[in-house]
Amino acid sequence: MTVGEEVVGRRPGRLRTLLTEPTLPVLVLATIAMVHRRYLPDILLFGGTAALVYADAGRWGFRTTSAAPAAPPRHRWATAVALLAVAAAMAALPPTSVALDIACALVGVLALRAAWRPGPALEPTRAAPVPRRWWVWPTLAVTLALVELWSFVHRAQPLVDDPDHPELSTLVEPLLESELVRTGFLWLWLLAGWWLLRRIQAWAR
Amino acid sequence: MTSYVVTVAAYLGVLGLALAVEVVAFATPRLWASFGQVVTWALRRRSTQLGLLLAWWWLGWHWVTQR
Repeated sequence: MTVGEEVVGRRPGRLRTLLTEPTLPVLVLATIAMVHRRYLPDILLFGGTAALVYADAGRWGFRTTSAAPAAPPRHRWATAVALLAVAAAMAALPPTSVALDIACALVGVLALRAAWRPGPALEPTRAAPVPRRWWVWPTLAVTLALVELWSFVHRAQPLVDDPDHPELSTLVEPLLESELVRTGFLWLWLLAGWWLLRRIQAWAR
Repeated sequence: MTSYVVTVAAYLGVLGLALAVEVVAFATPRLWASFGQVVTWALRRRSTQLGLLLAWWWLGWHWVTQR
């Protein structure tokens, strides 16, 4: 093994392997946090995803891959315009309506279906190169999560928003009351999802 | 300083740092990895693919529906 690469291939023990990766522990911690917040949809969502990751690990065979990143998309502008139309239609729905919940759920189901691939057909012959200073980005994400946690534990009442200790959502949600801003946010959200799915599909080739 | 100011300053500080790192990564790609490069690399693991897909969906749903 050369410097900057890691061992890839089949690894034994589903749970043991998953516990050496960050996703399952983070999902379990998030589920515990949601139990503390007593919000059933989030408990089901995070707990369900943890179960899905565990079930899918057997199907995937614990393989990692050295596949090349996604190729430039075809119909890039047409897709961006189509996603803008979807974003505008979603933004026209009242923010707390069941219709918007259903529209968001539909986006999630379609994304999961697109990501539901059987895994790489072949074992990789070499590992993906490790990006320089990759640890900077997880460090920033953890710092943001710690600020959010600090805010949450200093609330006057655990289950009521505290203006003196705002969470990120407390600050962002008032900005999204404007339909125009909501359209822009939803468009960026859909574009980010499209970007993510194209890369997931590239790894599965 | 009030708790509100400290909290908002902390959020903005982290987001500002992230923006600075992205700019530095764009200017010196051989020394620093961009957010997109690190996410693409992390996606080599299936568990990360599903975890990031959930994170993306949940963030959009959580903020836009105010749930």
